[in-house]
Amino acid sequence: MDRYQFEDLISDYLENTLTLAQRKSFESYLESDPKAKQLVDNMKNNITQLNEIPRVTTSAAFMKNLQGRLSAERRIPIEPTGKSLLGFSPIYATVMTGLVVAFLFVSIELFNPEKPNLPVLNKTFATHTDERSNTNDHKLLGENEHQDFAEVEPDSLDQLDDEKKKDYSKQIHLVND
Amino acid sequence: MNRSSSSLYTMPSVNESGKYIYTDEELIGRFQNGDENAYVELVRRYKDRLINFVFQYVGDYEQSEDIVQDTMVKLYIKKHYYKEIAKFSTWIYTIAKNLANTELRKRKRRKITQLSHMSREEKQIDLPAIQPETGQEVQNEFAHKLIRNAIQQLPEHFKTVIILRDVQELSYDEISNIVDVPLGTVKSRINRARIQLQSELQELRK
Repeated sequence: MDRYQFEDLISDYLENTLTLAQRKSFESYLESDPKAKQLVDNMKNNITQLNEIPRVTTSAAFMKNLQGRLSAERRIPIEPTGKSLLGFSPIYATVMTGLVVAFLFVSIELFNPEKPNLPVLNKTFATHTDERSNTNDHKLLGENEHQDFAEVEPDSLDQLDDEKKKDYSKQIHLVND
Repeated sequence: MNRSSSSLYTMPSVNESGKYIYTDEELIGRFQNGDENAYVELVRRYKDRLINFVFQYVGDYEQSEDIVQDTMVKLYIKKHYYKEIAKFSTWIYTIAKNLANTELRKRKRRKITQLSHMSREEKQIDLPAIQPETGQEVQNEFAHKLIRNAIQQLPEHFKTVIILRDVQELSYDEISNIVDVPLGTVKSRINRARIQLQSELQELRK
């Protein structure tokens, strides 16, 4: 048995797990080398001391502290986040609902085929009508009428455009003239 | 919230002959099914065993207790991660060992940072002042302190196995599962750890 083999077998020797042949070989090595015997004795003593190390115990407050920490852990997933409406907080739910309603209203007003006359457009056309009735360049809508363009036939509108073009042409002056 | 989830209270853990009514594995099974009394019983069974292990490992009582608390909290949160293919003790020791390793690594980083900011004269590492005194009790105390210091000098992989084997007295199989290395490696590692511990002790006794 050499030194390496000896060192590999120390724990097995101390724990009594060597075969009889190995044990005999090991003990004969110990007899031949006092330093090796000293090492084994010291290691045996160390193991005994390790086994006898006084046990420490948890403090008296351990369970109480643990309970506190567990209570905190339990609170994390069920942390109050306020009442929710389909996952939204009340404020966001209100804002989102308002936005959706506004969007729907505007969509219906813009794209409803049965209601082509928009109040905004009527107002615009009415203003144009006022201007034209003041100039008295044409009497397309009748003398005393203050009629909304919303009620004017589409063909009449085309005529109005043509008239307007005529008016502009009269105002054009070439430089040489 | 029912009573079991709002407070930690005891359940009868031993029968008239002083043996455990439930095994650890039965208790964790009950806990996984929602019985928090089983959790409390597991904490009671393992808190002192774990603090012994962790204390020898990190060498600081307050930190050790924190690590054991972390272990128990982890057991509470990750209870469903335990599968009954291993012993419960192996699983809980593994959690504690990993948390202790994390703590040691943090400490090592802190130490390196502090040392890098120190001048050469200041870089002397202080070992606890241990003077042999008369009296058997004092001598024993001295020997235990010395051996604890020697353990702290060991590399982590040696420290773990020697504590688990010679302080906690776990079987080689359990240690093999906890440190996740083959049985043969564990045996040879324990042997080399014991030899190195002896040489560390010789150094400290000089």
